Amino acid sequence: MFKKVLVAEDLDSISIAVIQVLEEMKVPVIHHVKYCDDGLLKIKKALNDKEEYDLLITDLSFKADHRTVNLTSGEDLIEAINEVQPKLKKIVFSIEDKSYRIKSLFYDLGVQAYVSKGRNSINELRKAIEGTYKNDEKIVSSDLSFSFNDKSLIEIESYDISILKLLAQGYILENISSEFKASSITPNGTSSIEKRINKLKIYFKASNNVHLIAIAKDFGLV
Amino acid sequence: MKKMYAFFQNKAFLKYVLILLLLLLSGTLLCLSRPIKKDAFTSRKNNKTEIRKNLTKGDFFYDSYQLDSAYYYFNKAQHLCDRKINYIDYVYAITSIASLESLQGDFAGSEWTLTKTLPYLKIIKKPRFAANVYELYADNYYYTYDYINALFYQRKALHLKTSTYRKVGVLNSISLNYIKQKKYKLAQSILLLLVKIKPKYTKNDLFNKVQYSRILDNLGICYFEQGKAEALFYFQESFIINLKNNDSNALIYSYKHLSEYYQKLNPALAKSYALKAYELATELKSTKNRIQSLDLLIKSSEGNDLKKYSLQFIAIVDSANEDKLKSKNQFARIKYDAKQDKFENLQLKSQKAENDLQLERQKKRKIVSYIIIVCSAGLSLLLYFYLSLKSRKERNNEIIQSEIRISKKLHDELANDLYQTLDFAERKDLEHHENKEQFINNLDVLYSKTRKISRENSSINTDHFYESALREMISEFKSPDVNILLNGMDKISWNQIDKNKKITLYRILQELFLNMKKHSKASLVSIIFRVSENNLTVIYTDNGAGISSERLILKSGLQNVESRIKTINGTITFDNNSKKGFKLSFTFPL
Repeated sequence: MFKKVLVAEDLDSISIAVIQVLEEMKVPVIHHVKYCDDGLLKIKKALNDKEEYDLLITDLSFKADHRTVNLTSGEDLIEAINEVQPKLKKIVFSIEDKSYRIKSLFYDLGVQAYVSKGRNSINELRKAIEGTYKNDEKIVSSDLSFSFNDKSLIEIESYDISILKLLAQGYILENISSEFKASSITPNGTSSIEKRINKLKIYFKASNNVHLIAIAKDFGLV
Repeated sequence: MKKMYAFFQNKAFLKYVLILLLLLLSGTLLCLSRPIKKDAFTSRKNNKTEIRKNLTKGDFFYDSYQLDSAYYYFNKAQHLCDRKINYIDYVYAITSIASLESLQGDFAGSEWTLTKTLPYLKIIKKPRFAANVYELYADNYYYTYDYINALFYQRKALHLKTSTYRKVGVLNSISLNYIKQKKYKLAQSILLLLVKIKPKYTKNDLFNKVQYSRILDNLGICYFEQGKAEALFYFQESFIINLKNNDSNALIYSYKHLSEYYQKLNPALAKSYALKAYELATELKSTKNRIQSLDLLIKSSEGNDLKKYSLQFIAIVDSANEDKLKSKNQFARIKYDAKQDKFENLQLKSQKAENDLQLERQKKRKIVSYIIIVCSAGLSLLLYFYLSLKSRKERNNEIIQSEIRISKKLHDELANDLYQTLDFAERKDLEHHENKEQFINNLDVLYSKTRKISRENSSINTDHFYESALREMISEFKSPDVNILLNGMDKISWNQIDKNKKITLYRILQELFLNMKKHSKASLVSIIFRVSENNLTVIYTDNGAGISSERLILKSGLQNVESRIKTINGTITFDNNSKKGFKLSFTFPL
């Protein structure tokens, strides 16, 4: 297990819970800071003393108070740490659920896990710590309906619109294929075009080609 | 009419008006700041000093006997004069010119020049200008042997209210005139009267003495012409005074008169006096006196001297004639130049008139500009305040609106559930495992609902995360029952769009989707983004319940959409025709 862990969290109740989890997991040294600036100082000091931390658990948002701080958010802290100790493993434990922000944590700041605060978050946190220790990457708590290749939105591409247009003009599959070949649009095999049409039918909730065209017309796509 | 009023209330239109006004303002200011052409003629004062300068220079050269230079400056001054305003200077300059001409022996020319002054003599209150003119007239006539006319002008000068000094001078001239007319008795009586007056005509003692010596000299001539022995006494008296004054000019006359007196009585003495006169005249470069003194020398000389002086006499007379011609030519040249000057002057005058016209125009333009400036400044201020007030009102309105919305949401979505949970906790025994589980579940639902409300109203990321944020917001409305189709979203360069417009677009779409979820029961929604001619058009279509009339639009919260799109100068179109589904498109400039 990890030997030395730093917890950056401004709310006592949460940090106590996190520390408890860590203690249960038999982590010998656990440090806790309430300000990002202090966190960075601790990391630097440990580096200086050659007793580096091997895990950081941090929140993203820190409440501003009377103390003026340089690093105002968990992102700032991670960025600053990446400059002095890039190999430190990082787990973000926060309420944030905006996917693009979480994605940027993984891609831009190189965190190992993201745990969203919620009902089962202590368990999720434990899993994330274990996963991180086993060098798993991109660990996301399961209560987030979030995936890295998000396809929940359907993009109608110009390729799809070309197919719809040709269908609306009465073309059959072979004609579309030859038309695509003529204007060098790929893919232009009949089977791939057919697959695409079937997909479109699902997207548009259409029962057949005619229905599909009717809906596309209604929606002003053709 | 109402439409018109609404048009004037249109913020965008008013903003354009404001910009236009500001442009107008800066334009007129620029116009005004352009330097106004200054002309020498614009300032009369300047002109006056210029005249005075020329006159002083002329006087200086006159006194130092540089006649052509003097002529040049007097002439220049004369041309500079506006005869209606600087008539005094004009008369002075002309008189000086006439005097110069007279000195050069051009008496006719001098007389002709003097006539120019006549119209102004009555206007000038100071009599000394008229006296100058009359005396000069008299001199001209005197030198041309027209003693009658000379006397006429001398009398005219005498009748003017001038100083005693001047009057004495005039009387002196008159007596000389009488002597020339051989009216010795008359001249004698005048001169004897003058001699009796104490020589204190003016404060300047030298002038008094000069004048007094002239009287004595004239009296001497008077007696001499009558062949009376008293002549010598007066000549000598005058001679002594002149000698004391060191008045070379007068001394020449004294020597001459003494020489004349001794011509018969003592030719040797006459010769020595004539020689002295000749030397002085030579020193003073007075050709006339040199000739006269030589004449006397010849008369009182004999033998070799006679021949020598005669030859000298001829030479001087010749060169004098030559000089006279030359100087006349010189004056003619200056006159010609002056004519040229006059021509130029005329040109300048016309230019001046043109300038005046231009100045007048400029003045008018200035006034118009000032009016425009004041008006446009006032209007801009008014508009500015109106616009800022309006936008503040709008902003306040928006804030109030969103406050109401949030409070309503809190009430509708949270308060109910919270009350149920509270009720649950009150009634059930939470020690019981199932109840506890239920309680925690309820709280979890409340927690996620709170987060959702917070997220809906949180700040919108407008940097490079905007597109993902927008996608995420849209994808939240996706469910197994609702398919959301997007088209053209990835073709928009979001980074180049104004921050406020991005926020507005986000909010509009959020509003539309919320509306869709609440009312329409749609299963398919499509959002099409199109960019054309710097405009972004977004077409929202769903296959839900739709909206049948405008009244419904107002009710169903789409009013917010409409007001939002207006803040970014966009237009919105509702498609009421489709019976099934709902279609809305809005366009705004990028």
